[in-house]
Amino acid sequence: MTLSQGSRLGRRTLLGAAGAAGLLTAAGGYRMLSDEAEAATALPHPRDSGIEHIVVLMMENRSFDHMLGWLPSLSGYSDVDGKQAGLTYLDRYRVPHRTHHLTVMASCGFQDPDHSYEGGRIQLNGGRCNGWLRSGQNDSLSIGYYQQADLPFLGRAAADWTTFDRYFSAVMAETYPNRFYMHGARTDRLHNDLTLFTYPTIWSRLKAKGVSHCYYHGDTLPLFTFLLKHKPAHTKPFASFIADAKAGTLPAVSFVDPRFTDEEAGTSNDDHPHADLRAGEDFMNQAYDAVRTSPNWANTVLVITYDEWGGFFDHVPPGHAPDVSRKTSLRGFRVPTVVISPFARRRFVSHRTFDHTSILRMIEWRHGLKPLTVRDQKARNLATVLNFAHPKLSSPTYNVPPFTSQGCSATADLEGSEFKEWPALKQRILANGGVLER
Amino acid sequence: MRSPRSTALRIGPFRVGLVLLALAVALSVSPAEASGGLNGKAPGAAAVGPDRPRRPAYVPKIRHVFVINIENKGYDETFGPGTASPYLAGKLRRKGVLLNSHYATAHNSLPNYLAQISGQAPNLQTQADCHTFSRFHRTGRRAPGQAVGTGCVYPRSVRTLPRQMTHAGLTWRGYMQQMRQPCVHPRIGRRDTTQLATPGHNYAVRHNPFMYFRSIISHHAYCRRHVRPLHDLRVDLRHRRTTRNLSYITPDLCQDGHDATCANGEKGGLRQVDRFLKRWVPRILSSPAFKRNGMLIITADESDNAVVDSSACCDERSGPNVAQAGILGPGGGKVGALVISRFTRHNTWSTTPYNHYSLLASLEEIFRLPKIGMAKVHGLPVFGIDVYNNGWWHR
Repeated sequence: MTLSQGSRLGRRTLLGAAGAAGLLTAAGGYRMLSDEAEAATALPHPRDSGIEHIVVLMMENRSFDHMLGWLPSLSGYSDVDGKQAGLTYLDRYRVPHRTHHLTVMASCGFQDPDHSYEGGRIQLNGGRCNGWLRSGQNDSLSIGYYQQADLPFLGRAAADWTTFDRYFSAVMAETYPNRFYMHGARTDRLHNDLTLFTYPTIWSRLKAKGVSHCYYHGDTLPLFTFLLKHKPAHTKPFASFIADAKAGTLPAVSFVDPRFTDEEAGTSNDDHPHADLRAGEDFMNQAYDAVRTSPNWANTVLVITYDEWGGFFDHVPPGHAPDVSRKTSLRGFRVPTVVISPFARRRFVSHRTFDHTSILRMIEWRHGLKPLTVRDQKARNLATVLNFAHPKLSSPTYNVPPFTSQGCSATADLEGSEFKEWPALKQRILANGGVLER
Repeated sequence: MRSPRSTALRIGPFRVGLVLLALAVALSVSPAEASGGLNGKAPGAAAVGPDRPRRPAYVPKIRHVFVINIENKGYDETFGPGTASPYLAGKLRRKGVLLNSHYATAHNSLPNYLAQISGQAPNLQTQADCHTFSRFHRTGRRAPGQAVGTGCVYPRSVRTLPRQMTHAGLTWRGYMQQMRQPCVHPRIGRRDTTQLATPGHNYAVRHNPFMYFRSIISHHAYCRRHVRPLHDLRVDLRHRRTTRNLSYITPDLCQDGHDATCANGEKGGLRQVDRFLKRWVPRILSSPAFKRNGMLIITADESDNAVVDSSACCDERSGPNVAQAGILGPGGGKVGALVISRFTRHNTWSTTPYNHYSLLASLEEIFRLPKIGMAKVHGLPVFGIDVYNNGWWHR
């Protein structure tokens, strides 16, 4: 446990002590009540919890401060640990640059910020969190941020539902390692590469127990599952997610992935640079609308998160988690995460430490599955933020205009970029007749 | 030092910063270029000439640089998990900053060494490692500072880092393992008989770039003073005043990892690299000059070969004489570089792409020299506080 986690716990203990009175009188205000309520939650028996459908939607490559650092400016959110304006970082030529409001929704013409295993450690810089402009070829994009008004979906959803200011990506490394944590609670590699992940996944656990599940994919192929030896039993395109939600036939566990291709040209909807965020907002809102208008809604928990921080600035240093290897125990920087459900507290921010394996922990808790590794075994169950006593079915409508990205007009050949991985994966699968390795 | 810093602090928006930086680079290039006085002796009077560029604010006061090149090893092979050089990739690596995106500039060996000390891009002869020690036939000049033509031994007017150093009153030596006497090279126009190692003679001229410049070899005394057998380094390391500002160290064909099986029948490759480094690096690191203000950089001339990896970074240009610097691709592949200094933090990384031209440009910034050859290219990345990363600028 890191120092910062320790001090955070200390603060929470104090809050807890002070909050008991607040609960009684309701005079402590909304925030304190919420904190106390969170601390006091005892989980119900999983079968009595009311959760029948868990939906996990994982976007790409954005940090908490970059997307949601404006949260403390909202009324009642002053204790949220987010920062945007007024931070200054030295670049590798000792020139200081300030964090700045990004006025473009796509990031055409910028470098994809470095978010490698090594780059993350440069950015962390021994806990100083100031190496943003000294890793890779990072430019001003990496210290830019969006404000609430820029994000017609996430800007609203983060403020209306339950969000987190200590939800970290699982590992200080790029996409594939983090997504392996999401599927398998560990990674077998430090970088993206096109070899098969052979460890058990949540899908093997669900299959063994006969729990219904499906992987819904935004691309024409269920790209990520080709990397898994232990695949989900069912994969369907995203349109089927909308249809299944509408029909009330969502499985017990769904993972929903955006369209990863074509990140480089900026026409994906996964929020990975150079994607236009308007496409991602539209995508998330479609999933949100499908879930909240579904006959399954009363029993559904939708988690929207990002695989990793993407090389974007964040001021909170992550700590180490219990892990199969000391090499991968360092979590990545914080990512935006929202929990949407009738059981979700409204206008609530949890300050406790979570990562992607907390979602696995929730799935395993709900369905009585064995943990995959020590990581998910020791993770804090994401269900602990829910309020099972007083589910509320109401949900706001967000006005998110449909958006189809035109992409970047001219794409420079950028070095060391992650977005080459998805087309490479697709080509490999097509060339191999539908498998990663023959 | 003081004034660029205050300039930098006044800069707000990012792009302005870049422009100013570009301006600073541009300014540092032009003056004093023409005055390449290439006579035998160090022109001491010019040493502190007013036309030397300032040291950039991001470069600490390093006064002694040690460069060691190993041979033909890609980044993953040297520094990856299955490395055959645990000393280099483990114990040494933990002492400094590992540049995991450092690229060689060409294939095969020789043009990489030439890049490091002159910024000359490859030509067909140097790409083929100059089996014949031919004269470079120059047909023209092309920016940035390139000699157009083909051949091995460049004419006197082609600028080099060692000559720049001498001109500025700085000292340098090349230390060549198993070179039997100072300044060994074939006669111009003759075959290079050191292409293949023999037992007891593993010195290779093609890994000794100083031999390819008339400005060095045609001044015999100068050459003999500066290009020395490796064992001289031991003596030179004893005192600060005898340690040169630049020590450029080339192990022999066995100990640089070039030969898979050494000429004497021993197993070669990275295990020999470790043997070499275990003997020499502790001597360097414990020398008074290094401890005070030294920097050691260990890199490889090129990746395994052009087939395995001829990638490039940093918008490398092939230059006027070949279509592809890496024969089958734009560069010499990713090799990595380890930098150890009191200005670097232990066991850290830089992920910024650099290449051997960047290394030359960075050495020229350290030594306050104008940029030459491909080091002049606008926008070429140079080592900054991502490499000199221990926070020295706060002190």
